Amino acid sequence: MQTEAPWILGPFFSPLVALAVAVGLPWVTGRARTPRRSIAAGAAFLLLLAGGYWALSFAPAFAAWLRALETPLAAVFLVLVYPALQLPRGRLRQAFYLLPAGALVLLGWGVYAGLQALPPDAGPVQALLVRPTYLLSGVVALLVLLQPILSLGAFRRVVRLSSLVLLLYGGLIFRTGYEDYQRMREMRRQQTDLLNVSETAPVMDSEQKPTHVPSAVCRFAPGGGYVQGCPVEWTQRVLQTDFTRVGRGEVAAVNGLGALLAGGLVLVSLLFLTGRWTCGWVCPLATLGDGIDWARRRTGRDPLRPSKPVKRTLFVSGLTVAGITALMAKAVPHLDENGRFAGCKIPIYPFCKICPFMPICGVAGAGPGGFPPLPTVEWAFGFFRYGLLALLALFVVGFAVGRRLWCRFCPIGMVAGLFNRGGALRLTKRGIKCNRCGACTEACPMEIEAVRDELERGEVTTFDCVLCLRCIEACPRDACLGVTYEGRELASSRFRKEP
Amino acid sequence: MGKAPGSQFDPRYRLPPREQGAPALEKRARFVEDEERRALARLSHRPAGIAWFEEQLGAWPSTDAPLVGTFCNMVPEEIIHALGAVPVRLGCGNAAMVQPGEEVFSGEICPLAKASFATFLREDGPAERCSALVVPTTCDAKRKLGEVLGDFVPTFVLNLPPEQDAGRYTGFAADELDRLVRFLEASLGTKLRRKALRAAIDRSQRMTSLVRRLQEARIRTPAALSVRDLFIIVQASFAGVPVQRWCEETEKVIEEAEAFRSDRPRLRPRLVLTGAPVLWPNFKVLNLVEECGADMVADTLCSGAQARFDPPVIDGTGRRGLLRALAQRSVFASNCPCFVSQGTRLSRVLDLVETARADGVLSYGLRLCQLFDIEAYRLQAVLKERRIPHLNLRTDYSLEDTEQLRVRLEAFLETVEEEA
Repeated sequence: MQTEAPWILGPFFSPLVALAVAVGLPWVTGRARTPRRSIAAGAAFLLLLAGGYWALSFAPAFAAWLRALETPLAAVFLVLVYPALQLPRGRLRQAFYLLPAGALVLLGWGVYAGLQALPPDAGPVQALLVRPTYLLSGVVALLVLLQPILSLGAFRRVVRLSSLVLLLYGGLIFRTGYEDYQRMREMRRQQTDLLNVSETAPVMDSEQKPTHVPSAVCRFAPGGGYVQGCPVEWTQRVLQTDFTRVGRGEVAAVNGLGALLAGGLVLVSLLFLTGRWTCGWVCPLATLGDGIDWARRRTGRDPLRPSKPVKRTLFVSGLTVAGITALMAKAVPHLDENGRFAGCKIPIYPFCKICPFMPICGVAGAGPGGFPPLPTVEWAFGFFRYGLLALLALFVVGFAVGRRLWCRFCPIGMVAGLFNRGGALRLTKRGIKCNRCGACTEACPMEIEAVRDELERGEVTTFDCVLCLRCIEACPRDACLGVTYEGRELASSRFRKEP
Repeated sequence: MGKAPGSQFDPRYRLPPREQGAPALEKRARFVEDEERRALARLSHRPAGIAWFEEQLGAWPSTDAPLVGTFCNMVPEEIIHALGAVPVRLGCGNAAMVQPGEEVFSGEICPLAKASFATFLREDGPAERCSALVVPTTCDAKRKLGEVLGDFVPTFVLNLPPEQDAGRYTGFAADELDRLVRFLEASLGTKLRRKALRAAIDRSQRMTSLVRRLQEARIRTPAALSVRDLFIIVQASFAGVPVQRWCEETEKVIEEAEAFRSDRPRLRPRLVLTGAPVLWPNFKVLNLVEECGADMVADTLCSGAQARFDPPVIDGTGRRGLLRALAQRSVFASNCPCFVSQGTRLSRVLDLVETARADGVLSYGLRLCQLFDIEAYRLQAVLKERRIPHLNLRTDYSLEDTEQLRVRLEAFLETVEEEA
């Protein structure tokens, strides 16, 4: 995503500042004794951060780095999401709602301006021409405004559906400008063989600034294109980098690696801020999978509850597949002129070649015709063809018979899971309120037992947890389970069955 | 005749049912109930609609549907409703019924078991009225009672897991409920339909939310509703009344209780009641507490608000999923001391003391119930550690020790008032 931010707004767009605010601000304001003092301390802290940022950006050595990190995701988080999470109920919060309202106005204006800027000879345009930053903040603003009037479950559905639309079809519906729109039409006219393309061109990506987000958002989605990819895609990019060229100081290689590292830093900041929440609320593939789950539910069939060995097998297989493909990615810089390594043909982005999300995104974005041809067997004795088929079957069957069986395998989720414990979002539990009925574990799509069995620690966030918060919805005891963001409670369980 | 398929009892030693109609039994039972009604009539403030609830207690429901007798909360009545039958709780609190039970068994059995058995000796008792019985294995007395009652009416003994470990035993508990369903289907001649069960669960969730609102009203102003009236409302729902009617009547009581404004501040000590079931008409302890000038603001009794405090939470909507939800509510959320370890009740007591702003805890033990007796040891230690005043009363259905209990209770309330 491009940032067109003027210099003065730099701190808002920096993920480092977002991270520092998310972690530091509650600590700073929490130590002040009176509300007035805590506001003053918070303001001082923010000023200090911004001042430091401006000072650093004067130093040329840092300035380029800082600019490379800037992302509108950070700005949206800082201005719209973080206050919505942290502001206490009251006048301050009501005043805050002006910001999302303003963002919506800005989005409306952006769409209007996009229409005005059409060249006179332009034909009918079946897309909204608006800058991605406006679009992102507009959508998030809408969600922030909807949140107080929706139940937890309804809000989750709205977030999931809007993420699905944005990530699978966003590049189709929204374009930055007329030229960009024409380019997209051109690209869609060519039947690209998704499997053989080495690089699809994400539409909203300005060169050298890829945006990676936690959870399976695939850049191979034909109508998507807001993001470069998932953590595994990022890892493959790093592994595929030819470090000998970097060592020789070739400008392109060094710049490429620099951009990757910047993207990685943004990714890690996002991971800390969300943990595996994105798996439960954003991941378009889990949303599609839950469609299958919903259909199963309608038939009245109960989900398969995987036993411990099954869970462990899926986890280990996920790691193994990720490991094998990572080794293959590592071999990519050493391929000979026939594209072979040790006698075996190896593609770039080996994981993406067997990841079922590519064909699923293809079908979801372009209909059944979007199903890419299967990989040929010349690659590693058919590893990619049969691997893709096996994983595709695992995805469909995993969601059809159980709930999120796939997510126990998904290496992308595992990366995010590393940030679950000790992250910003936490699942809390007051053991004294618990009746140990087990409705939480029953409702949990990952069948996490700690949420039912933990009674003392007060915190029940685990590696597997996708923070979908279904346990909070299920819990019949008031204020037993809750979720906090950096110490502030966002929601807690409540039995509401109004007669 | 060989052993019927699925029958739990050895058919070779089946006995003919004992003769019914002991002399003057009916009269004595009515007398005990009337005595309690007179005590209730002395209450200063009662909701207008309470008479309807009182009429339901101790009476058979006026319905053509078959009745299924159950013995405690751990039998999910949603299943019985869904099969087109009406569940009736047969646990008996009538002091007059203790002695006839004692004549059949021995004196060393808890009064609840003895009295509940003796109701089968009554004319027009459950032996005639019920089409089937379900007895959960919540204690040794009930475990053995099932076989005896099986001589009167087809009976199913519902096995419970020994531990409240939902991870290990939810499947087992759901299997047992499945067995129960098949037993009831065979004895009632109906089929369990998923949608009917779902609807029954929805109704029971509605009852839960009403009981919670009653409970909240009682915590806010104890004067709005006496604990005895709350128990009557809850226990009327055990008597096989139509759920819809019960909900409507309860809503009226709630509205009245929520609108109630006391003209002076309530300064009486507030107590939390925990322990053995207090069943109509054995309201001895409740009478005593309120007569001695204390308010019972909350309870953890399976015959009180706790009976309907936890709803079944549906996740899977299939037959198995619904049975699992019922097992979780009735077995794993239960705070009965019949399980290996019982932290839920202790947590609940501590939580209620805090949320209901209670000044002390009254633990009630039924004589000859070892489960509550032994657990009182831990409860007392835990309360002592947290400096919460508490009193352990152990008594049975007879009124002989009333004055003794009154003296102990008055002394306890004095210490509570000093500390408050």
